[in-house]
Amino acid sequence: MDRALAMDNLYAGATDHTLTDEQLAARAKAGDSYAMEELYLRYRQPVFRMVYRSTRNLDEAEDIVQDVFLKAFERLHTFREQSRFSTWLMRIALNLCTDRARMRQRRQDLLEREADHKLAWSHPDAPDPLETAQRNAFHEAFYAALNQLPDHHRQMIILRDLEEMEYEQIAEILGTSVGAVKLRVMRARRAFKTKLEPLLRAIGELE
Amino acid sequence: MPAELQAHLARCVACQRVWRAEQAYRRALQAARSEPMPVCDLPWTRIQARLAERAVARPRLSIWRFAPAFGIGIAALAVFAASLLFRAPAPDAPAQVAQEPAVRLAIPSSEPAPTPRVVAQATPLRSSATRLQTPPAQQPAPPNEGGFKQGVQTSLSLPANEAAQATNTAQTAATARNQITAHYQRATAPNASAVERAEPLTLGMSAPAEAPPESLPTQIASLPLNQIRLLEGDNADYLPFNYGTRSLGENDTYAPVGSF
Repeated sequence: MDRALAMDNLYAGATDHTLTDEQLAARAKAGDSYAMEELYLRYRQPVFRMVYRSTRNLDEAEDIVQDVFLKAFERLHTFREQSRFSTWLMRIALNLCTDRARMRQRRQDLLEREADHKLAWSHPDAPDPLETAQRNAFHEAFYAALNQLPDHHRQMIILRDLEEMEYEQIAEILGTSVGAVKLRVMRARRAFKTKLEPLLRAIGELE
Repeated sequence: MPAELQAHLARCVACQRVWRAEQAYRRALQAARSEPMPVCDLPWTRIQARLAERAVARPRLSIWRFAPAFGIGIAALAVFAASLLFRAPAPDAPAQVAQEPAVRLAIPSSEPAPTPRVVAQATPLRSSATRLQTPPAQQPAPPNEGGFKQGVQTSLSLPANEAAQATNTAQTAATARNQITAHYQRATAPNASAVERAEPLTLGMSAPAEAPPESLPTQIASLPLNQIRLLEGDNADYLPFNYGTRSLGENDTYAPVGSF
């Protein structure tokens, strides 16, 4: 079992522990609703955790989780049994998170443009990083810096540093090689530290 | 941390700065990992209901929905196939060629050319053709310069509406070729008289099957041929001339005007 997926009580709510994910997916493909429910209960929390780290908003995270499973069950016929169900599901979740982040950014840009850049401070989804770092806890500075990263860097930090996934698993999710994943993680960390250092200095965590 | 690394950090200010930034990053990372995570209470029934809604809103495609489109496509295909099978045959090539306006070659000869006779009139011309050539020793001095034999100027004027005479035309051309060959043989014979050499060539063409039109065919232009010179040792073989069309072969059933 993956270490990241074992952090929470994976089988909380799950009833059948004997069948593998791929066996359940095969049954769900044939129309077995109990198999679909079992898969949902197994992966609801891991997917939610990854989505929440990306959005930092409970309602939006639940909305994305719902969309993830709807899309997964509707496109279950495209799932190949040779690959793992968990990585296939995480890939759907990553793509939806990216889409939502872009929509959010476009909405914010539109609001700022309409208000002639005067209302950016009042938008709840775009807090000022320095204000957030000074007002809130140490880990809020972390997420403030994380939100400033581009999507591809943010995904690497979430998957490797926060979810503690293995390089092989990340490579399978992204459909690339292990070496490419390691290179992406190194670049993402470098960019993330560049964003994080001024915020940590602002809250006195760094000289 | 190894002792050597600690000793270096005690001395190097830049490395101290990097080390402190790396430590701050690890602390922030640890804090984010240990943050209490909210629990997702999204029930399976909600997912199930949404799936059912989407299945109703997007019904499964039935193949019978496309039956009208298939029927129209098959009908169109059948009409197209029928048009290919039952289309009118293309007219024959010779008849088509015969229907094309003939290229008319005519020269204003001294004598009026009868219609539809083909008149060949010999005029003194300089020749660049070298296939027909008589040995200079046997050749009496011609009246024109350069020792060339007299060329042949041919006038062929055919009516425009001789689509049915394509076969007649081919036969006429073969006859004309034979007559021309005979004429040159007589003219180039060693014992030919001056009268025979200067005798103009007259070709008799067969009359058309249909009644010729009342008006004389239009004579467009005169294209004098280059003088023909008999080659030494060769037979008097007539060289086919091309006026942009292919030469007349033995198996040709038509004779484009201007070709022999």
